[in-house]
Amino acid sequence: MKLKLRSDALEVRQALRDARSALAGLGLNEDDLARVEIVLAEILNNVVEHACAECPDCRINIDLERGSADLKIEIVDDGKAMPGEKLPEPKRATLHREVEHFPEGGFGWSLIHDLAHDVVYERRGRHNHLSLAIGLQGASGAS
Amino acid sequence: MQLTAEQFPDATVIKVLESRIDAAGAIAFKDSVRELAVGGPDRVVLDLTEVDFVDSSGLGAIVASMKILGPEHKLELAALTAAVQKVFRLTRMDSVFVIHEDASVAVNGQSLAS
Repeated sequence: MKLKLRSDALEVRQALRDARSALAGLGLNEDDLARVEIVLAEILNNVVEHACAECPDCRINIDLERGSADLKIEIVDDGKAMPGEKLPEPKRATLHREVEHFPEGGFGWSLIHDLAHDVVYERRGRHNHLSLAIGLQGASGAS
Repeated sequence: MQLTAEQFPDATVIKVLESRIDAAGAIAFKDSVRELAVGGPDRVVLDLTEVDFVDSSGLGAIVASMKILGPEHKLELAALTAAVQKVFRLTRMDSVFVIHEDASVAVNGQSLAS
């Protein structure tokens, strides 16, 4: 299935809703849906807040393909490249005892790597291509 | 961002009446929590019964709320749904908050208006 959206937090919300209902229709169970939703949310938020921060008219295309064991996801945007044209190193937030030192960010990429595999980023011409896969536990109705 | 506050002798219970705390709502969330908690009891219990999705921005906003409330308040959480629990566990933020099964447990069984 394909989804298209503009780089905007409310459009991200709508795309997540659309993806969830389409994937529920393909037989993904609630746990699979929750994992897919968080991964998609983190990727799309990164695109909106970083790659496309200076161009609210940037376009984002999402391609979701259900395999027997995985959901394959490809996300293409026309925002600026990732720094160094490579994936950022996931920072594992260090937890401090003092409240004022608790991290307020930096959770996004570690969540993506925790929940997805085969995460590949490529800059192709003027586009960012990110592909990854999420293992599905609910095997019912596999196509 | 819709939140309601109910006062108990030793805690304010803030119930989030939204299904999501996400990037689109994170700032409004933080502001609303501060408005409802400031001047109230030391303990603030965030009732997340209605929330079925928190992304990393929403998680950041919850942490930021705890910081904004400062040392005079203690922010606790209640009633995490499955998907929200997953995000807290993966980011290990479940170890930095006191998390109650539900808000009525957090206020020692004093009845909550539903």
